[in-house]
Amino acid sequence: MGPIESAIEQANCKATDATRRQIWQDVAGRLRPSQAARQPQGGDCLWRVLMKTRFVKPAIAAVVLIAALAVGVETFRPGKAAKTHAFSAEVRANTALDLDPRAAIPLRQARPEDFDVTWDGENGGTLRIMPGSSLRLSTPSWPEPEWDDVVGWAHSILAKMQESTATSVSARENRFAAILTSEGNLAVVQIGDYDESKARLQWQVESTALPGYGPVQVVTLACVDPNKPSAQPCAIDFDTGRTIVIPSQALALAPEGFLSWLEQNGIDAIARISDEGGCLAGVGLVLQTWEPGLWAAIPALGIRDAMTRVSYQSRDPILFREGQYQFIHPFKTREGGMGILQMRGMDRSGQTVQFRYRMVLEDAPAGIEGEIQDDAESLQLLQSAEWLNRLGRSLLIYANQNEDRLPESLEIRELADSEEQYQWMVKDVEYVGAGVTCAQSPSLVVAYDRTLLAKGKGTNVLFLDSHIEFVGPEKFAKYGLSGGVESVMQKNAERDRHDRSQSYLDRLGRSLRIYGNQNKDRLPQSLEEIRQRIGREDRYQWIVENVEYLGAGLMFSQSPSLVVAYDRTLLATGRGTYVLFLDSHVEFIEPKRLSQYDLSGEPQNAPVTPPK
Amino acid sequence: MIEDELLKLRFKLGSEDALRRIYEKYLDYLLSVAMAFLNDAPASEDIVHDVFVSLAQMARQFQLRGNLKHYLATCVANRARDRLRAGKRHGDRLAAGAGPEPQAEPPEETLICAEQTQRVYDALAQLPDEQREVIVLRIKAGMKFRQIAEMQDASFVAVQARYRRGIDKLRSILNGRL
Repeated sequence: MGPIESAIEQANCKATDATRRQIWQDVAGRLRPSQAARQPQGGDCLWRVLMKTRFVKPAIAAVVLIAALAVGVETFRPGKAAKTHAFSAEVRANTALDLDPRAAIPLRQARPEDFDVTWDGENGGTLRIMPGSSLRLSTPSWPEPEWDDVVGWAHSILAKMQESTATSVSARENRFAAILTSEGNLAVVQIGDYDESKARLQWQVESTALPGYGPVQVVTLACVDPNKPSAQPCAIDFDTGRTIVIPSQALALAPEGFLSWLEQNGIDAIARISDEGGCLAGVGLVLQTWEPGLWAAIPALGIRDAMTRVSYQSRDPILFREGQYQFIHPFKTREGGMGILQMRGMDRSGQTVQFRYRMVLEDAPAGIEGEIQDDAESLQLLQSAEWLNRLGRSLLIYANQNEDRLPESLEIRELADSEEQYQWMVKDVEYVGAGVTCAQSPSLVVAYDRTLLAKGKGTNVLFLDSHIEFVGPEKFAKYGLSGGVESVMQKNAERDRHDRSQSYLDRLGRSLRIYGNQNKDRLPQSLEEIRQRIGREDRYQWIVENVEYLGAGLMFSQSPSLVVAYDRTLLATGRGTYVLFLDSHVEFIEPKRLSQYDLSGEPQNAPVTPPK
Repeated sequence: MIEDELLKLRFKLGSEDALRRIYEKYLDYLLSVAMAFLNDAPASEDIVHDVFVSLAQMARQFQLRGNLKHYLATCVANRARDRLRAGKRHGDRLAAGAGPEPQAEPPEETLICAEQTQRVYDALAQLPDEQREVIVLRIKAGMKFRQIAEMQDASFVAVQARYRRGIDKLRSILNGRL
């Protein structure tokens, strides 16, 4: 790279702090309303989740009882399930309230540091944090804030709340406040009806601690067999870690009754044998499927963030994929517990499945770094993906400096960031990018991890557009991975040919549409008339050589499903072809559907009839 | 890469933290790209603001298989091109020294640029739009000539020629000043 290019690359500017804050305020403000609009009514609200948690109900009951006894508080009750707040109470002037929550007391009696807020009549009614305490208060600055938006905002400013110097909020100016409580929790408070002597507060309390993982649990469950009740546990409640034996009476129930029995017993998943092998079947479990290597890479915070807003309860079983890397599954139980799970094995003779899981804990002792545990298989997958990613970047730089052409081999030391990576590239990577240029299809395979491939359980693949994908054995054939380098290169050539066909027909469609707009909806008699519109000469030549044009005499006002052009070279291979229709869409037509469009491999010179 | 993939995933699931991380990670980079196109700090701030706002608004519908950095740089490039065209219609000029009309009070500083960086932006501003776009997308956004050719609806060869001519011109403008 020359000095000019380097100077441009290094010409960077930086936003001032004010600009940075200002833009973010606006951006975050746009995100929150759209999230609020997406929320089902009361769907994910904390209160509903809390109320579903068996441990919280007694605690709430205790709180209500204590609060009812407290002086100065007329009512203290949990919010209704349909509302988004967790607690509500009426607080009178000169009364202090503990948001965490525990109780309320008259301010005159005592001012212990446990108490968080007070109410007084200043400025028509003002909520204050207790003076001289470690409490912090912030208020949202945008007009007409809504509950969900404020909760999201409160979490986003958590780190900066320590710097806040505000100590009160006047109800006339703002009805919301985020408060760091005396116990280090985050309370989002809404002021309801108020006057100088009292106010109704509604609030939600959330932990501010970063979540961590609990210990990894490895569990073996017997598969449920309705005809043969097992004395071994067949089911698990992830929230408590309890494994459960399903009694024969429950197995004899009708399906609805059985499901109801599982739910009543807090069961989150049962082991069973499906048509595809041993699996876990979720009971009201919210599930996702992520790539295998991520077991060692995803922090608990990532799982919590990913699963918080997901509510679709998957009916797909979690399969043990024999001889393959096992996917990881972030999950959320009916009671709101979250974790990740990975199948580990299946014993066909003993009819058992084994899996491992770990729960996300809000108050886990270890930090995020501590969560990544030594897991050789996951780490190997992750390391391979990371190095392939770096290789992709290096190949791109190489191509930039070499007329968009990838190197002939990987034996170029500069392609690696370290000696260790270079040795890995030479030893473990199969490179198929020789002769490939960046102008080709971005989905071409450039390199893959042959050591992982040799295990037959899947491998990481680097594509021309630099993205990395984990490819399981079920997709080996798609990329030609099981047939060695020649097979991969052959598949690359096919994919490149297909992408080119699709892209050029698409371009032809747009050129025809422009021609039609300027010629009373008429299509040109020959492609020569739109030669200039097609743009590049090499593209035009390719189209002339490979495409059969059938649009002469057609009008755009005719049936949109009329065939305008197709790739005759692909058609001749007998494995289907790309077709451009009158509505300008391009579609790959498989051999069995070709007859619908009167495409038989012979060039057509007359307009083709719509599909039968 | 993996971080960007996770960010994309988390952002799609509606995580504000993910958006915040994307914002923090790419704000300065995108401002630099925008400045390279426009050489106008308030205008650059505006388009980067718009790019992030659009991103925030599309959270759940966000579908991106490719590279997040390229995607954001392309968004900035498209908006910068629109602004340049609009500017031309209104007779504005991009060249160094032809900034906005003097105001009663100087505008608040929004970006911090080193002196040499400003020299590079001034030099880029003297290039024809198409040459500048190729150079910025190629060097700052790391895009391939093929991708730029598709963006500009030009041939691969034409894009390469624009790049070479632009670099030559920059060399003569910046001769000995770097």
